[in-house]
Formats: sequence, structure tokens, C-alpha cells
Amino acid sequence: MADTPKADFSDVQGGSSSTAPKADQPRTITVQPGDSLSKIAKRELGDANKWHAIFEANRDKITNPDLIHPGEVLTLPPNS
Amino acid sequence: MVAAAALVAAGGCNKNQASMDTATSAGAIAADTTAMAKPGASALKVADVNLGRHIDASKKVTDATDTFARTDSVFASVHTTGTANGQVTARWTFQDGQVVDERSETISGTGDNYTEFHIAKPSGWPVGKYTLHVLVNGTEVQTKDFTVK
Repeated sequence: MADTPKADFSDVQGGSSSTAPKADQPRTITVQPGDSLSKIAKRELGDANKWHAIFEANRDKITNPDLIHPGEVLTLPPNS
Repeated sequence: MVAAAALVAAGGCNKNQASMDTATSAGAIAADTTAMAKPGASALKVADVNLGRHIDASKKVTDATDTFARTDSVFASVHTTGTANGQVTARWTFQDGQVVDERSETISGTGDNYTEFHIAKPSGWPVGKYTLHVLVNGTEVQTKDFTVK
């Protein structure tokens, strides 16, 4: 029995646009053992006090800023 | 053992006591915990997704439908809320599992925004069932089925 040929999507054209301003591709980091948000903020953003910006940028992943896990991938806010 | 190691990673403390966790927190310098109560950036979320044959200048669907003709272009309007930056992805699939198209927009959230994604096929769409998968930062948050007849 012959297999049904797969549908051909080779000529599909796509696009996108948004009303929101484009953001630079966000940097991400992977939490290492011993990390805390303030350590990450100090290391990546130069200021430990910016830990709350990291928390806010990762609200969908972190519910408790006191609890992060090695291996978690966190998005860094723009360093401003 | 692994769970304990994870906790160690979090606060340098392997006793899961809330007060200890708070103290070692996020390295949260204690005074900064008040910052958490201040209104700030909120996570990027998808409020709704609509499909249709056209969109207007505000990237909203004007001719909503879930049934398309073989020669139609298919538009999706993704309404997001939140003020965090994030990546919104549209992955279109066919009933046989093939990915028809996938693309992303990395946006700077400024409250309510609309992001449109569209696909067209000059030779005509294969008849059948399709699904639009919408992801935020790599996590699927919504799907919409549609049919080409």
C-alpha cells in the first residue's frame, strides 16, 4: 500500500508585526548552584539592587523571589 | 538530595524555613522587599487570540472566522497585556503534525498590544484542519483550531 504523500507547505509565506515597540532580543542566563537573584543582578547588571527587575521580568517563572533553582533559564531585563 | 541541593542554590540555606529564606533571599537586601509591593512591570500575558481573513491598522482581526478557503490568507491577532518584555511566537501546524510556519516577535510590553501573524500559500492550502499555537517566551499558552475547505 502506498503511503499518502505529505501535504506540501514549501511555498508558504508568513509575516508578523506588532503595535508594541520591538524589544532587543532579551538576554537569558541559567541559574547556577549558589545563585540568588541579587547575585545574578550584581553579576549580570552590575547592581545587586536590580534583583527586583529580574524578578519582574520572570514573573511567569518565579513566584517567590527567594526561591530559584539551578538550571532555570531567566530572562534579563535591559541593563539601564 | 536533589531537592536539598536546589534549595542550597536558592538561598545558601538547606533548611526550608520561610524566615530563613527571606533573610537569605534573593539576596534580597531586606529593605528592598518593599520594592516588591510597588507596582512594577507585570508579566507578558496573552489575553485573547482571534483568527480571520483581514486585520485593520491596529492589528485586530476584522473578518473573524475559523473556516477559510484554499486561497485565503490567514491572519491571527494576539492581544497581549503586561509591561514586561517578551517573545510572542505563532506556530502554525497541519493535521498531520507538519509545522506550516513559525515566527516570533520580541516585544517591549506597554500594556495592551496587538501582534498579528499571517500566512499565505500561493498554490492554495491543502484542505483539512490546522492549529495555531501561541507561545510566550517559549511556553505554549493558547491554541486555536481552524479549517480549510
